[in-house]
Amino acid sequence: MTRAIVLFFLLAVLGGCEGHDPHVRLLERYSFSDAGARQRTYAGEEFPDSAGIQIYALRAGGTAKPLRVEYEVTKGGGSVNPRVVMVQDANLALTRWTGGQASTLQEMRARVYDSDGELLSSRQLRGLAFSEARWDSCIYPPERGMIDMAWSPIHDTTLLVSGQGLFIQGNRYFDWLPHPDPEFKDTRNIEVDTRGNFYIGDNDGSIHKSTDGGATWQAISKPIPGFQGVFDFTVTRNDHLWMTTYYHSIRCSRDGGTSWSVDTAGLAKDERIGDIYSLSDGTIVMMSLNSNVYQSMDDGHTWQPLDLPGKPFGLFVTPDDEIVVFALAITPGNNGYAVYKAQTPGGEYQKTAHIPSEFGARSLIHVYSHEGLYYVGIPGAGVYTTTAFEDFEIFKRLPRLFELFMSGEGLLIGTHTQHKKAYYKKIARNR
Amino acid sequence: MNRFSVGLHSGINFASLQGKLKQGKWESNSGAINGLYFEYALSDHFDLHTGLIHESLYLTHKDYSYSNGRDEPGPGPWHLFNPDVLYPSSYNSNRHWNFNMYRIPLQIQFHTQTRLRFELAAGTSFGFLVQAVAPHNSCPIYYNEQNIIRANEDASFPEHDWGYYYSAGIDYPVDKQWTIGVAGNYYSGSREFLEHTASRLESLAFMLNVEYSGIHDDGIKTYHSRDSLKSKWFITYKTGMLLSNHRGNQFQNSYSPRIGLSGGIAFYYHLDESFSLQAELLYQRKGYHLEDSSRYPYRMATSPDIPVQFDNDTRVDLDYFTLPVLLNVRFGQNEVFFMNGGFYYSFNFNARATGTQYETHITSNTYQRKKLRIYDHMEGYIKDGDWGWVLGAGLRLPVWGSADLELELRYDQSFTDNYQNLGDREYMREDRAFFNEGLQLMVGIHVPIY
Repeated sequence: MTRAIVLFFLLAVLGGCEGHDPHVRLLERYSFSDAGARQRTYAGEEFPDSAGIQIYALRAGGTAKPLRVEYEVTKGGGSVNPRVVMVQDANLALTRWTGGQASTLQEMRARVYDSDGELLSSRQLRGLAFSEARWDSCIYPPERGMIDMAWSPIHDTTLLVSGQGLFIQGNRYFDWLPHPDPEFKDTRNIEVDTRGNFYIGDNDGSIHKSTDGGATWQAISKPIPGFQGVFDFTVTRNDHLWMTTYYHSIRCSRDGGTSWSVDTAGLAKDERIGDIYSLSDGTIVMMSLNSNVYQSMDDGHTWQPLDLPGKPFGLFVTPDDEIVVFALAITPGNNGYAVYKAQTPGGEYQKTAHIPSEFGARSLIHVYSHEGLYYVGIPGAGVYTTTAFEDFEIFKRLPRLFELFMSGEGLLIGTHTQHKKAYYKKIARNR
Repeated sequence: MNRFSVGLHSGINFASLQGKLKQGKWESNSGAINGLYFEYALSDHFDLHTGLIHESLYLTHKDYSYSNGRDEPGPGPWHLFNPDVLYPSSYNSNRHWNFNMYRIPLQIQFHTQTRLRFELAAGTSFGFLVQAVAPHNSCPIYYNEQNIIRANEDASFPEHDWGYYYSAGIDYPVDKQWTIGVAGNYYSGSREFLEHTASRLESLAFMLNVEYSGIHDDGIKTYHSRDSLKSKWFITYKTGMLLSNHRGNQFQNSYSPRIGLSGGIAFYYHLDESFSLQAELLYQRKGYHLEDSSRYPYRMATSPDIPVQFDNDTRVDLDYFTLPVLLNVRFGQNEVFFMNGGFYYSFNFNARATGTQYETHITSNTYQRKKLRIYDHMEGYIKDGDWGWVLGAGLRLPVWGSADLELELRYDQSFTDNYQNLGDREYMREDRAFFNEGLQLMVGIHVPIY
């Protein structure tokens, strides 16, 4: 009896000590991705391509069951047709989506159900609907994250440089087509000369040139041999190319980028170009990033400092060679920029206006002329219009405006201080 | 009286680990254990026991193998897509260890003076590692029985080990000088052997032994009569079923009781005609059943911070060696009935969760369902010790000479919660206050020993 009990005990202890092994078995997996998302259209018009979701499935045994996808517009005021799409033999569930008028951002929710009615996924598709009747907000690249923009009136082409590379404007003002050359994924500046030649400065210290409106490019020079990095780059009305960068003062090319000369006589140490203009009489006037203003009477070989009122943060020269200076004005409760105007670089500066601003940004005040009106982008303030830089009107208050760009057709694109979005406004539709 | 005895014993062992085990199955593969031993009689009931043992310990860790069903009929016309599985459609990650050791135990052994002699010993054991075979450091991945992912084989182990050594067994004399017997040995190591689990070696061995006691024989051989009327010492061999549960937790409805095994021996010392002191050594399997939506298969914890739903049907096994100390009172005609009460201390030597978990992962990009066959050692989550109170009652019926058949119903409950402090996050603090609770129905043979 005792032995039986002990044996039973031992067997019971050993029994159940083992069993199955740990194991994971994937029963089913569906992966969902957007199809036709982030499209753009005019408000009130259908998006160019069908939109919907793409479904990939993996099931452990059995056959695929049909899925039901329900679409519902949730933002922007658009519409969708059909609202329900069944998926059986294809892995695409597409519908037609029309952009609404309510906002730039259009949103449509897609809910995926299995054949038992269980919700497998709920995801949101987004698109953009642009309207000339309003300021649009673009939350997608390349405008979000754009760095520079240039327009060639000769080729009627607008190029945009963003963190994603070089883009060429498409048929619609909000279409931007990436340049196919992968070398231009890493560009920094874009400029255009009076003959319609585009110049690109890349992050490797090189300059590329296009004579055919941005279709093809040639590497023309490396202004600082051995230098690799970003640099300041601009082209003046006399088609001179100018560049500076950290620890490398002003270099100028007077032959379209073939050769470069270092012209720093008269400049303070470590001056870098902020804003630079050539006047009709050949005088060159330049505001440095140290807020010093110089003029050169010998095509930029030697420089003379100018004594201007206030601390210049922006410089502009009108087609009539009038000098406009935006000087930082620190006034309790009314910080901003004081606008001064003079007939010549060394002439008498008259204060014409005060533009309040949230913050000061040197060399980021950009002025564009369009159909007889100047559009002035003031960082931390917004877009102002003026005819003679004496009276300014607020065109759009944008306290988070960082830089303003304009294409020749009257398209304003402003960047956000934190690159969260781009401000979009088509002033006139010329096409 | 035979002062000196020498014997040979041989058997099998089952190695396992003690430490912060939290995932996967530690499989106890059998290994050989052989040796010789010496006993020196200190008195009629106590011996000094030592010897030399060689044993091979085999351990296998089975982590979660994986399959995605590609080998089965496919998903119809849909495109197969499996972008985030770095590994093949199925793999396993089993790892194996093998330790060869010599051990020198040193124990004090108690034995009865009956012809069928019951022995109980406790002491220490010093070990010398002879050979160790270790797997790769990181989880290897096997596909079609080929090791497709391997890491370096850097592993080192202590050259020496020591720990506590417990034995229990029965011997039977086949003539004046020769005895045969069976014994169970439990070794609990104190040196950390596997760093990544902070775990120590333990083994459970079952051995047959042959003992010769004719080296120094004084010619006096006595077996004490078992006169129950005069005896003060009694022993009960008992086994039974244990209905256990956990109480005091936050999601009480998610748990249900489960049935386990209980068994062992009880010693009685009669203080007078009614009262006796009772000390026991029991093996007990406690635990509970979990059936709910929990991120863990072994306890309830919500998962609001992750986009995963769980559906569990699991069983938690908690194996204890328990030492109750009780006061027993006998009453009724012929002292048929008894009641006892007192306290216990339990040592947890094994904890694991087994069962099934369905995991549904839902994001805007993915819907995924997995079935997990759960087998997780969870000693790392459970406290090593537990103590509480005991109350029981039963009856004894004479069945065979001086032996009684004992039936007992007993309830016990722990004073402290069983889970380790897992951390401060919400899901780590949730539902951590577990208290053992058990109802045992045991049957045993109650015999006088002295």
